[in-house]
Amino acid sequence: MENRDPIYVWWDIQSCRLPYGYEPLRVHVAVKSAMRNLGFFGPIDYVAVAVKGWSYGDTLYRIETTGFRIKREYAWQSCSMFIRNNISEWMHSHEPPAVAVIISCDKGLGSLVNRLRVEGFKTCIIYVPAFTSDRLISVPNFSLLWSDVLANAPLVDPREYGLPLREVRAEAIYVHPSQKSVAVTVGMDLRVFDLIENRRVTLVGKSRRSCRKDSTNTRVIRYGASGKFFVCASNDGWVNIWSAESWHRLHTIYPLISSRWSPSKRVALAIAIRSNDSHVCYADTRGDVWVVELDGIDECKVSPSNKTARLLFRSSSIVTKLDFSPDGRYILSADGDFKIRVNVFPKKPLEGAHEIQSICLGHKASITCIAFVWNSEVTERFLSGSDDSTVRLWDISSGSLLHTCDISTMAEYIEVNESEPPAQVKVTDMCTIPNSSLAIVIHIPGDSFIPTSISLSGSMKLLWMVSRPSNPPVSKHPGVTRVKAMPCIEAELSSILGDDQIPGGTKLLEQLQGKVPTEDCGECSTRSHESCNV
Amino acid sequence: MDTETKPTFSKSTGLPRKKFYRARAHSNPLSDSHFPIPISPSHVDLSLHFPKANNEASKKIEFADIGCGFGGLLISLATLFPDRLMIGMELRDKVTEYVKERILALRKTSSEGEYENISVVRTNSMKYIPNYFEKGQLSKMFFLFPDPHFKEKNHRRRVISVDLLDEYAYVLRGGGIVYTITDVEELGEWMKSCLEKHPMFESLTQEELDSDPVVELLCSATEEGQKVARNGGQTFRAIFRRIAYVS
Repeated sequence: MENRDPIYVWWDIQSCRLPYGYEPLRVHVAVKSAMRNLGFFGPIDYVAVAVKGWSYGDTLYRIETTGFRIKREYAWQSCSMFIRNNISEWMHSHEPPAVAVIISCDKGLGSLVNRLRVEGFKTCIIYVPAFTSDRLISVPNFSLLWSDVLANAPLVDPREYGLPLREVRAEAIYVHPSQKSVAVTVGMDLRVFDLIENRRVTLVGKSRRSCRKDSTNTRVIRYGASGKFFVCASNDGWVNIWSAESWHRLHTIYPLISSRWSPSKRVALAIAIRSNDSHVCYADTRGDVWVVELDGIDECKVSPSNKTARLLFRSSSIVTKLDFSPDGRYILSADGDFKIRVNVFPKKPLEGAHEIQSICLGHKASITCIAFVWNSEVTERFLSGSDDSTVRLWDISSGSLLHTCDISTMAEYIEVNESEPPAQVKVTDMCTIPNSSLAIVIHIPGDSFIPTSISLSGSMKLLWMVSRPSNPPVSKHPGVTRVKAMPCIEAELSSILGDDQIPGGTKLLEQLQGKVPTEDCGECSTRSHESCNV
Repeated sequence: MDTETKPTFSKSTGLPRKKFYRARAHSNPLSDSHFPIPISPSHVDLSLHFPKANNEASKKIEFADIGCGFGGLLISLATLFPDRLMIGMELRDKVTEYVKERILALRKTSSEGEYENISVVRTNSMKYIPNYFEKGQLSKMFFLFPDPHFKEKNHRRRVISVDLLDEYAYVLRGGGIVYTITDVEELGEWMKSCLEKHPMFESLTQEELDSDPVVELLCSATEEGQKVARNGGQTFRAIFRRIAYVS
């Protein structure tokens, strides 16, 4: 006999959040199937509580189209109070039998749930383990993990609802030049693993909301070539500079309010550190490139005059990649008009970089990666890869295109289907290896995993790679972000290292990836709030 | 002759009539319009723009009129510098059509083969100048009566600003000259101060200004300039030369 009692769901969005990249349209299906598994087949009524003033993108709109009623509260602390009051009112107006499902991490729900049970309601709490106490979990009839509920939802294609696919930010992996640590950004999450001390590092930066640490709000990161500095830009507009050895926060650059008429903070999209550690440059969403002097920043001494960033130059469109040439003479910026601008880095950068050395034109789609040639005699050349399936070689001082390499014809294992037009293979990242070879990772549409970023460790022994499941997911179990490493001895890439052979071993993989999947197709869910603080 | 059947052309002079090519004076230069852009300067097809000009292999465009409007300056410059190639850049569609038709008609009616060295292209010069010109290619650039964009929040749309001057300095050769003129005093002050602040531009001396034949054309050659003269308004010029700069 199926249980047809009406089900009422309350969801506290700010405490049980959706993992980055999770399609919000799947939530109602997730809850429904979780209830079915427990044996409840009744009609479901959904309520979700969000915070006024927080930017959710179009998440709330998508949630609303699937049937949730959205209530807004003024502060994140009052969401749980709202739910409690709402449930108390509901208790008076509704008769058992009914099922009350609360998706929240509020520890104070214990007494309320008790009352519900006494009255005869069935209760279920869906929670996130890091924020809930064991006492709370034992009270209701049923308790489920939020990540389990989300993972077991069938896939929903937003295009059936008339909504576009969501853009998921690419993961990036960066390795310390002497392989002392590995940093991965997955969505907005920053995970840093220190290989010397064999532990995860949590970076606490200065941020407007004290509850949001840098670890969960990162946009882009970079290591300095000497290995001393690590720069990290958060989604709030703050840029922090850390020591890559002791992990002390050395310097903070305050976010810039763009102007009186558009007071939104400008977020950095690309960062570069000069090879002799003299300056850090970052480019923001408007196309402005800022420079900060690093002289005198050493462990705990910070000279007060360096606190502000100065405008280096401005580009007419958005700057997606920023890089210094290895000798520090030029700064390259790849922008939204598919060109790379090479500026001479001036002797007095705080007065602005006005001299353009060359402009490299030729790409037909957005440029995704820039790599320099390792040979120290030939420092005048660099490579760029882009979404138009080509890798091009340029001369720095003249900007002339020396060679174009079409990747789609070179990748041997792409099956060419005669009837379909050739699939657009995108170059996602590349890395130059000494002895004049090049490692490129590409995105072949239709693959279930997309490698998004690679990085070479300074001792040149290992090439690290991070890949994520494709969007839209190809299989039902979309899998989790994977980190892999490959040794490159004498410029020959041998096979991928097994999970236990990577330096740092399974502990590194656990911290950087989430959970260590037992099968290759990945059976665990994407992580939400479950970051462990060391 | 097809000009006789075209209603938009005047029957007496064979030139297009401006009445049929009216367009709004303002166009947002930061919007993404969809017109073809050459992938690089080497992809600019000179034979398309200047079919009959004596195109030696090394001849390149030397003068650029940014925001050429109805083409008055280009037409006056064509006879003054018959051996230099010049191009006008304009964002508005209809106005570019008008200038194209005007140039074609002038080429047909001219007896000495004049006006073969000017042309116009529809493009957004704030974003795409590096696509058309190589480093150090131009020797003169003209910014005649640009859109003032009075509101402070629109100042970033102005065609002369310290950041865009970086790009203009890139396409100008050493010794190349930038000519600007406007009838709005605030804009004139702005353009002059931007050029003075930029380390790669220096002002021309009075003798150099007097000896340059182009300077008088700035006020009198264009429709806009003639309108200002008719109303007895004042004009503000800023003419600077591009110098070499050691960063």
